[in-house]
Amino acid sequence: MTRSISLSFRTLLGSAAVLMFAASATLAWGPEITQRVENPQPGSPEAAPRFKPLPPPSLNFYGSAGLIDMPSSEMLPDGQYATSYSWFGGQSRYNVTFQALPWLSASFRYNGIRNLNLYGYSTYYDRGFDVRARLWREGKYRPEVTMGLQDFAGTGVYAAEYFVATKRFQTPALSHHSGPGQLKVTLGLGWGRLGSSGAIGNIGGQRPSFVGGSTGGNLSYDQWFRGDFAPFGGIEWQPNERWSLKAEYSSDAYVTETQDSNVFERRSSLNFGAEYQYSDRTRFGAYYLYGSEFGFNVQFQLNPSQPMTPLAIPAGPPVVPRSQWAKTEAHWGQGWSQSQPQKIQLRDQVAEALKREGLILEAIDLQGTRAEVRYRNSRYRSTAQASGRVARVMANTLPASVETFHITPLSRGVGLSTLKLRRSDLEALEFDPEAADALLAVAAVGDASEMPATALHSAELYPAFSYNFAPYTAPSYFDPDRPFRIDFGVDLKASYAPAPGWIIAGTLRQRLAGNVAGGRASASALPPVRTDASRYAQYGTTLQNLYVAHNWKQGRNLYGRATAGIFETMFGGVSAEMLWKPVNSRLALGVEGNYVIQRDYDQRFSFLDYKTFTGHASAYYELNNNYILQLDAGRYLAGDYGATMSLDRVFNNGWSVGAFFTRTNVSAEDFGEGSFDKGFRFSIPLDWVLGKPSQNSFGLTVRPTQRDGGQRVHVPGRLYGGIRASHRDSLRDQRARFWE
Amino acid sequence: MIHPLRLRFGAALLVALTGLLSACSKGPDGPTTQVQLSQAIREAIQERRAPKTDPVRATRAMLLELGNPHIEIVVENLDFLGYLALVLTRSDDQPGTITQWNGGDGTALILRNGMLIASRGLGGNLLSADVPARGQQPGPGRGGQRSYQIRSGDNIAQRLTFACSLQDLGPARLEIVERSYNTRHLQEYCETGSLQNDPQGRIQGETHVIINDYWVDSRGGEVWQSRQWAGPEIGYLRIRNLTN
Repeated sequence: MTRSISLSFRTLLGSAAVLMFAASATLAWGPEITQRVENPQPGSPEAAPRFKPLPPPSLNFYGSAGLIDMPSSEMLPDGQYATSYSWFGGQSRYNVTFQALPWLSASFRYNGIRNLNLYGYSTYYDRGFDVRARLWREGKYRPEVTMGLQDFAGTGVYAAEYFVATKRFQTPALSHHSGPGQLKVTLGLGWGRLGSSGAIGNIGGQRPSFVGGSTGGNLSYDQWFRGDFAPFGGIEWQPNERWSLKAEYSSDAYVTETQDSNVFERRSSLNFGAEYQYSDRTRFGAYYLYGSEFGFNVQFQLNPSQPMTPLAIPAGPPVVPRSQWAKTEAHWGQGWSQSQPQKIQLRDQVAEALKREGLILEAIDLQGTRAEVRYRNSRYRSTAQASGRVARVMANTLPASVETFHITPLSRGVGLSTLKLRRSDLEALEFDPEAADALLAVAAVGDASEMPATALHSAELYPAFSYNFAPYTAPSYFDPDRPFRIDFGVDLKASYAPAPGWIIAGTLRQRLAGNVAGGRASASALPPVRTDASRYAQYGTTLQNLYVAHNWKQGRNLYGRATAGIFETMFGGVSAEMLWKPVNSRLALGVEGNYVIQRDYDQRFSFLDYKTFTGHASAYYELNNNYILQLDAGRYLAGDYGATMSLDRVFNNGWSVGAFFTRTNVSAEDFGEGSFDKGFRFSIPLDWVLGKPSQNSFGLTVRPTQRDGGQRVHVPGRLYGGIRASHRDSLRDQRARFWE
Repeated sequence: MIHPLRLRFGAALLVALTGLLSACSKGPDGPTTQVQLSQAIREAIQERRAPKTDPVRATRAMLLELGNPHIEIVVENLDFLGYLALVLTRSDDQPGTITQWNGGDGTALILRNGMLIASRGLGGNLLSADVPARGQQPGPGRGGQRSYQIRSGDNIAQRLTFACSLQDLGPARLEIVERSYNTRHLQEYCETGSLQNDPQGRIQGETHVIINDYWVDSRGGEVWQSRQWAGPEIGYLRIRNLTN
């Protein structure tokens, strides 16, 4: 039933509209946004092609593309990472949406309903996942259609399924200056929550209802598209790039909130709102919902392929062709290769030139016509870029007779791959119209060979000492008493490398302030391998890790690691890993075994009684579109057996977004809330933010609930990630960087 | 009254902020995220504090004293003025003479017969380009297809192809740093023919236009001045040849 719009709301809407048009005509509040310019002047930047996309579709209260409380069929740009916070009538929703593929998106939501007073909580907090798939694109007459599953695996408080169609129309320009506007019309059919008001039919009778306070977490497919279904719909009108007006008819009766409890009063099915695009990434909205409540929505969208600051790296030295300087017979002789002093001099020249590029020469092998450089890179994220710099240095330093370049990146003393190039190709292709593709076509990538006995090592590289002193933050989430807690302080990190492949490292932490210590105590049917976090958070000065690690190469394609000591805040012990990863293969296989002892809560040198063996066999596969699939099977920290599946999208520029879940032989009851371990993770490269070369990232792994089943020990220096980055697929994907 | 707990929290925050600004690192491992972040913050503060100085304008006397050839560039988008010195002259299998010009700050431009074929040290670099060079003739030698490879945000090369027409707009007299030259004004008018490699299909259906202008010495030999497009991120560059 729909009531008439109240007088106060009409005044509000009227004044909002006046304000909006006054604002849109005169001032634009906020930074410039990307927009389509009508009839731009040829020769102006506006007329030239642009890579920056127009502002993305707006989000609804659930963090998906949509209207206000209802979804639309729109998809965000591929790879989009959207975060939003919406609030109305005491209900807040924090949403994260990732557009995993052009036609598929996934969302995670943390929501709080104040004064629900059900299931034993006054404020009810819940987490949920959504997934949306576009069924077909918009055509000339045909609307775009999307199917959505909302809160499909949680405790299901927001559970709903829907089909929704959206069609876009151009509207006339409001003034001479602005371009045409856009009208989006949306119509959908919803089940579950979205079929609870104004139902027009029913499929399969009574829908199995969700049980508040149950462990949840499993796919609730027995509910999907069952029970009553109801239509919903609405419009979004964008008179210009900055503003939009929204109106919708909601099919959500809010039964739990308004009938079972008294969170707010639902007096109307109509919702209205106005939104403002503040910048290309930020959007604000204000709304009047259900005839009784005001609400707002803050939206922040990032796209991995649109860096905050475009990466600018100082130019490397140009390749000077030998034809310009090696003009006499004497230049081309190989006599130098018989002279040790001359070779040592060359080694020092190469080391000096590499240092200017931020790289470290570990060893060089000089033959008459062939040279191999083994180098360490702690500056560039892209191995292709580092290799390009090494190639330039070699071309400008080595005698003219050297024609074949072998370039081998090392990590922890181990050669990861060898890029083989001909010097004449390097000279011929630097300014080729297709320089990057042309070089890739003539370069070969192979397994890193054994270091030849004739190689000259850099003097004074070992032993090496490094330290870092910097602040840290350690957040903790989803405690029903206080959903967000954080500690901060300073870390002192130090490492000592006595010889290639060996490292002794440790981190000392001093907490300065924070409230993680006040978190919930553990209640677990399993050994408390992770749920005791708050007991570990009681101490100010702690030893984060202290270990000795050795890395080596066992032979062709086989890498090894052994680590002993304190690995992380909760566990220490011994760990060994082997990884098989051919340079040109998408597949990698690994095994890891750890014998660990749980650390004492004070995180010094003492241990608790809990000891266990944990280990896994792992398979990694590089799929298309930069996706990496990982399967691990084995024994977990609490002694449970099972397997983990993870899927990550790792962008070329270092962005990564992924999700994982673990099923083990622990029952849902013993596991507790959530039934099994799952979560998502993301990592944002620092160079993407700062526009300067960096190998660092910041990111987060978010688990809806942290329990003890399906947990692994965090051992520093696991092999796969670093090795893959220097292998063929990665070098190929990064080829644009070689000449930069 | 301020709650003592809140006071303690504030003091700790102050210590942490000081820690952020005093973060440091040493050794071959390289800096951690926090150290790099704090370095960036410190640099930003220094930059903001530094007095704004007008860039030094080159005079002919300065150029004569320096000796080696220079170009002056203006990045229109950033209103940035800089001087780059000639570091390399060479040729390859393609027609034309390549010149590389480097600035003190790691910026580099590479020209083929005076036409931009690559940029380095800028965000969204022009990786490589196919330009209409003909022999040693300065500036564009013909109309027709032209293509650019531009690095976009996800470290991939985006290819942009244009169909160009070349026009001679007649003689023009130029004055560049106390010297005057008789030139002809050549203009390339280029429209997007096809846009490949666009992952989100967002440029589809739009025609884009770029215009490159060259002022070429009437007797041949040099491009004395030009305004050239260097990609969506960098935009248009104005280049003046300061060769003595």
